[in-house]
Amino acid sequence: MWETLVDPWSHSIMVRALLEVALIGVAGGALGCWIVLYGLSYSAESLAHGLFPGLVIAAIAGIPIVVGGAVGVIVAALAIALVARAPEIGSDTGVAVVITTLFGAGALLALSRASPPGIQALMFGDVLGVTDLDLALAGGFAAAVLVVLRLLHTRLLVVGFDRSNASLFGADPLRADAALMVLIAGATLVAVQGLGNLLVVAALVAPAAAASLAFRRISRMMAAAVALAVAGGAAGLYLSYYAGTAAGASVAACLVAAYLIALAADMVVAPLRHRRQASHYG
Amino acid sequence: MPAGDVAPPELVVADGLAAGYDGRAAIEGVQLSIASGQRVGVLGPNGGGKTTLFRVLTGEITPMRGSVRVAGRCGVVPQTERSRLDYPVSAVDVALMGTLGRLPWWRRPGRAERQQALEALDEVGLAAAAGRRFGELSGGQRQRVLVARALVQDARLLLLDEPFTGVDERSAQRLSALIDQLAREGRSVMIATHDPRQASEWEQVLCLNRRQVAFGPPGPTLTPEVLEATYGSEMVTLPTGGGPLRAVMPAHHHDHEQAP
Repeated sequence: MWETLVDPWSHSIMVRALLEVALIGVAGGALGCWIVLYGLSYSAESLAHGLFPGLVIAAIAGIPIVVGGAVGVIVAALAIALVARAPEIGSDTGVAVVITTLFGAGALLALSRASPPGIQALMFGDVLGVTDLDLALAGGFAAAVLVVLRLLHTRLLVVGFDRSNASLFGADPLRADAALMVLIAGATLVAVQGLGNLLVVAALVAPAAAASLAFRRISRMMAAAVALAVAGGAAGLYLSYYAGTAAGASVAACLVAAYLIALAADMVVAPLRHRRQASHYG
Repeated sequence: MPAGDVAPPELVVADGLAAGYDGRAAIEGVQLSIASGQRVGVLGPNGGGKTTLFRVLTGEITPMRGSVRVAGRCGVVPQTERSRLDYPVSAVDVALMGTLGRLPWWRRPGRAERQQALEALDEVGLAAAAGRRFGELSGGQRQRVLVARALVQDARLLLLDEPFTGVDERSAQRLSALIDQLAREGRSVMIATHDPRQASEWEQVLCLNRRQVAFGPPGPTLTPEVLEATYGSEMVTLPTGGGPLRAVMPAHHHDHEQAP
């Protein structure tokens, strides 16, 4: 039993992978709580998919994919802003059209003969192949996310609580949204190496969504989401090691499974809790 | 209102005020003066301009014509259906939101702020509920938490947006007592309500129907003509033991005029 638990970590490649998913888990779990509370899950997914062509073009041109992704984010944001101005289509539809177009263009490029081998790592990640630079980026970003979220905590809380009156309390809803979108874009860029463009949303949304079911205070919810994200990442690596499944996909699967378990538990527990509350306050 | 030789200082003065959205006035002809310690009932139909007037007083929108002056901080107590009840905050977290405006941007509320929030909750009679989740509280308790938040802001003028809507009788009495207490502390309170009888217990009444219909002490102000001009077709006459009682049917009380 003990050997089963320890064996994967005798390989330095697995230790580095664990470090990477842990760092992504810290940033993604904490940030994810605001994504869930602000209802930004769809935007987060859109952003991740919208920057895909930027990643592919960077890979083909041989420039760092972080640079390509950053340019891709800006292009996607501008395209969405432009389409959102067209009054005859709803903003949801506009975003969907832009994102599908961008992602399709990215896939087309990725599958073309010009693309270098191993480009599917951009979609599904290559957590076993993380470089020192990737780890440094993930570490720096996780620290930055924690610092920024701590600084903005009360503002984000005020805006999420009552957006229409937030400005009266010194919190600007537009700035709060913008700050979150910048962090989401950053998380997508940093996590793409580990989890890939398609799976990164799992790390951002699933742990926080699970934590939001179980915890009724923001601080506990964040701590639980971070713990769940790190634990899910480790579980995914075990699964990949022993079942021989793709590492990034296994991590994403474990994170989503944790959410499904939390959801099932909530469906069992919630009626009991309501009954207790009703008798307590009734 | 405290008695004395010196007239209480005026907290709110509006002169020929008109305000609205996109160049269209939602409210005009507002001419009023509210002293500190006064409770003002704000009557009017939905879309009558109550929300617009409140938004001018908070400084969210600027007057189109005329002027308005508020000497002191203005605190808003919105209807709680507008805040999310599944939101992961406790009563004291909500009260703490009132400290944000005066903290430097890098500082989070600390122990001193927390103490202040707890004192404010105590003042509204909710010290025991400080740790309870906001969404679990009753409608009246949520209103009082939002009053505590305005107290933490050190608001001299409190704007209550239909605080009695959907609140049971006992909670309404506690809320009413809290409004009296705020006025005794020298704060002015403006209360949007659909109940002229309740408004008649306060020092001033302001009747709005896209313009100022009347402003003054309720006794001389709340005449049948004024109520007719304020509510128009929303008026009904209820037969009661002591003669007919005129009442207002708040048919669509949650349909406020909306900013674009």
